[in-house]
Amino acid sequence: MTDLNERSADGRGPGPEVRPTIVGLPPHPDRREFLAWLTRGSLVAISALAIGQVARFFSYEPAGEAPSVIPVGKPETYTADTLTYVGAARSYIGRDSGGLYAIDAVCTHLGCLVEHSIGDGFACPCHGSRFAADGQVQNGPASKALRHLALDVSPDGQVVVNRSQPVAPETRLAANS
Amino acid sequence: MAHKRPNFFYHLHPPTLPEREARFGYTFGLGGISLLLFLVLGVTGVLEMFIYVPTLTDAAESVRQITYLAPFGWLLRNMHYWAGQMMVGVVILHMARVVLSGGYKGRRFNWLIGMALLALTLLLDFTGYVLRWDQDTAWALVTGTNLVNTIPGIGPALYRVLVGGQAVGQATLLRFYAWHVIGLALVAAVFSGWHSFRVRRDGGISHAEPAGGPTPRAGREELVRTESIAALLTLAALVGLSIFVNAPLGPAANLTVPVAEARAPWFFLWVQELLRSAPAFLAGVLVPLAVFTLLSVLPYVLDRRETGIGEWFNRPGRLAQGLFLAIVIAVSALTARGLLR
Repeated sequence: MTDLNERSADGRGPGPEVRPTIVGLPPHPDRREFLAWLTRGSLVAISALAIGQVARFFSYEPAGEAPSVIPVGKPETYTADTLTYVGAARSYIGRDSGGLYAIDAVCTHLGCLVEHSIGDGFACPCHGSRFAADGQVQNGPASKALRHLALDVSPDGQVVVNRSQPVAPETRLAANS
Repeated sequence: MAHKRPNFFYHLHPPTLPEREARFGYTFGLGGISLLLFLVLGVTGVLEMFIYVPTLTDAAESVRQITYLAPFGWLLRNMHYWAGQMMVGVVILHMARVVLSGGYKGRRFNWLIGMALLALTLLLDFTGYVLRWDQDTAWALVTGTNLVNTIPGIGPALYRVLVGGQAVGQATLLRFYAWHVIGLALVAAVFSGWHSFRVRRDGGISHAEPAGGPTPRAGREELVRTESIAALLTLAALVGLSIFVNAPLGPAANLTVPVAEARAPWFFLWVQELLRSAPAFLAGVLVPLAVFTLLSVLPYVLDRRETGIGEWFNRPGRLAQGLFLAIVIAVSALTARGLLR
C-alpha cells in the first residue's frame, strides 16, 4: 500500500507511484509551471484549430462545373469510316457499320488530348502513349484504354455525348447517315 | 568615435571577413547574384501586375498587351522571364559551390533553408510559366496537377485544393496567380532574409581555418565593391539577353484542342522524360521527391564531418560531392534527351 506521506525524489509530493504523466507538464508542478503549461497548450490548440479552418477555406470550390452532356451536331454530319474530333466534347466521333461511337480524347495517363494519327489509332503528344483505333493501349506509359462514351439523341435531333458515362467499346448508337 | 557608423546597406555586411573568402573566385558571388535576380523579379513582376489579367479569356491577351503595346513592355517581360530562368541556373550553381567547397559543414540548418529556397524557386518558375496561359504551358499545368492526383490517399483532395475544382479552369489560373505573386514570393522573401542572416550568425561566409593563426582580413567596403561589380555584370548580361532574345509566347491556350507537341518547362524536362517510360506516380512524384530528400540530407547522412570546410573538393566530403555530381549528370542527361526530341 502506497504511503502518501512518503516524499518523492524531488521532495515535492507523494511518492512516484502516484505521479500523473502529462505531456509537457513537469512532475509535481507548482502553480507557475502549471499556468505556463496551460498557456502553451492553449496556444498550440488554438493554432491547430486556426490552421484547420484555413485548410477548409482552401477547399472551397467555386461553382461552375463543365456540363457533362454535350451536343455534337446532327447524325448526318458523321460519315462512315472517318473519325471527327469535336472540341466541345473532347471526343472523337466515329461511324462504322453498327452506327455511331465516341472515344474520349483525354489520355488515360496524365490528361493530355490524344491526336488521331493518319492511318490508324491515336498518339499522345505529352509522353508518347499510343492507342489503337478502338482505344486499346498499344504503347507507352498509359495503362488503361481510352474510354468509349455514351451517345444519345436529344429531342431536337442532335447527337449528345455523355462524358460522365463510359460504355463498352462495342456500344453503338444506331443513327442514320 | 573610432569608426564611422555604417548605413543600413553596409550594416548588413560583416565589418571584416577573411581575405581568401572575400575574393570573387571563392563564392563567385552566386548567392548575392540570386538575391539580386530575386529583387529584379520582384520589381519587374509588380510592374507587369498593372496590365496582366488572370482570367481564362484575358490572360494570353494581356500578356500580348505587355509585349506589343505597352512602351518597353517587351523589355519588362523579357527581363522578368530571363531573370527567372537565370535565377534557377544561378541557385543551382550556388548549391554546387556550397557542396563542392564544403560550405554546408557546421551549417546544416542553413543548408535546409537553402533547399527550401530551391523548391520555392522552381515552384515560382513553374507558376509563372502557367500564368502565360498559352498552348505549351496549359498542358504542363494539366499533366502537373494530374500527377498530384496519382498520390495515393490524399491525392484527389490535394488535387482539388490545388486546382480549385474538379478540373483545371478559371479557379486554377487564379490560384496559381495568387501563389506566384504573393503566396510563394512572400515565403521566398522571408526565407531569403533568414538564409542571409544565418550566414552571418553561423560565423560569416564559410571559411577554412588554417592552423597558422589569424589570417589577413578584408573590410566591408572592399566586399561591397566586389559585389557591386558582380551586380553590374549580372545586370548587363540580363539586359543584353532581354534585348536580343524574346521570352516565348505561343498561341492562347485552348484546353479542348489537342497539340502536336507538348513540352514541359526546361527545368522539368527531366521529369517529363522519366514519365515517358515509368509509371506516373513513381516517375513524377516519388523520384523527384527522392532526389530532393537525398540532396537535403547530404550534410546529415553523407558528410557529417566538420573538417574540410571552405576547401574545394575536400576529402571528408567526397561522398557527398560524388552523389551530388551524379545527380546533376543524370538530370542533365535526361534534360538533354528531352531537348533533342
